[in-house]
Amino acid sequence: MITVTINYKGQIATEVGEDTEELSFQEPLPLIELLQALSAKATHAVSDFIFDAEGSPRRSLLVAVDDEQVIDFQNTLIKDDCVISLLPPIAGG
Amino acid sequence: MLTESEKLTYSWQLDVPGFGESEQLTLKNSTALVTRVGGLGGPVALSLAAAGIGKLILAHAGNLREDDLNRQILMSRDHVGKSRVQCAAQTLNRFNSSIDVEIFDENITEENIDKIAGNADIIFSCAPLFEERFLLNEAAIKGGKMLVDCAMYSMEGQVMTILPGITPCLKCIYPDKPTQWERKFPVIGAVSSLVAQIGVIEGIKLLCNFQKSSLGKLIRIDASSMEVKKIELLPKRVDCLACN
Repeated sequence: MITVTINYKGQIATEVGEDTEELSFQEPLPLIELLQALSAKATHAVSDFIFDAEGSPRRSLLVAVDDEQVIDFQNTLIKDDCVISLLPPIAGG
Repeated sequence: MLTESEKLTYSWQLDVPGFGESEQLTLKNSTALVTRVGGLGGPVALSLAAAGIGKLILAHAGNLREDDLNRQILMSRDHVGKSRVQCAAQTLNRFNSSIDVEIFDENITEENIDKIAGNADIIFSCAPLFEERFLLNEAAIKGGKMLVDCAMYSMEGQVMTILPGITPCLKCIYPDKPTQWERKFPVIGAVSSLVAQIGVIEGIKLLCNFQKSSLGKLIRIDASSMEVKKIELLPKRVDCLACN
């Protein structure tokens, strides 16, 4: 069993109503599977920030694992104690 | 050379280790474009004026509205209905009469960006729309100019410093146009000012090659928890349409 922390930022945090959440999984898993699991349990509005209508991860969403940007969602393995941050684009000026 | 008056005006910052007359002279000889001059750009421009930047170019269309007043600190209630950028220039000139301020009562567009950004050494991007931010990003890359992208939302903010050809750019981190960003966003003025100050510090470090800048990192500010973190960004995308 592994436990990871999800940090929601920007408009995603507003939609979720929380800025952090802990999730547990049976074993380490690829980031894409974690995002799919998140999306499956989230509202449509939250899911829409993560995946586009075709089910591909949105390239306008910045994802960081342990404070490092990640773009290879298939080959990034999420392990126990990882912190995953979902940072939608912001442009408030 | 700094004048005796300038040495006196900036004497407290000339005491900062690593920041001397040479760095002050660099600021004096530099031109910064700030767009726009609202909740974020206003305090950016004010702190650059305080630090002794030589010239400010300000771009922001439209007249001040009453609901701008919680954050647009270069303006006051008697400015409502008047040109934002003209009011901003008046405030900045009163604050530091030794700097030049050039104003454009227009927002950045494809048509005007060369005219507005062409003479800037550094760009502070503080616009509320990604269309403008991407245009500024492209102009910075095309012109080899330093860019400090400052953005906020609610109790959060972020600052990204971009050196063309060296660091990832805005398009590297957002390759696709963000479609979900909304023009009206929640903002407490103190949060936009906080983000602005971090942007100015990074800009001065870049301009003056002073101390250690945060190139290649996204500085994230969380005013709820009062945490400042840096996200380590990947190198420039090989398929970035702006960088390449």
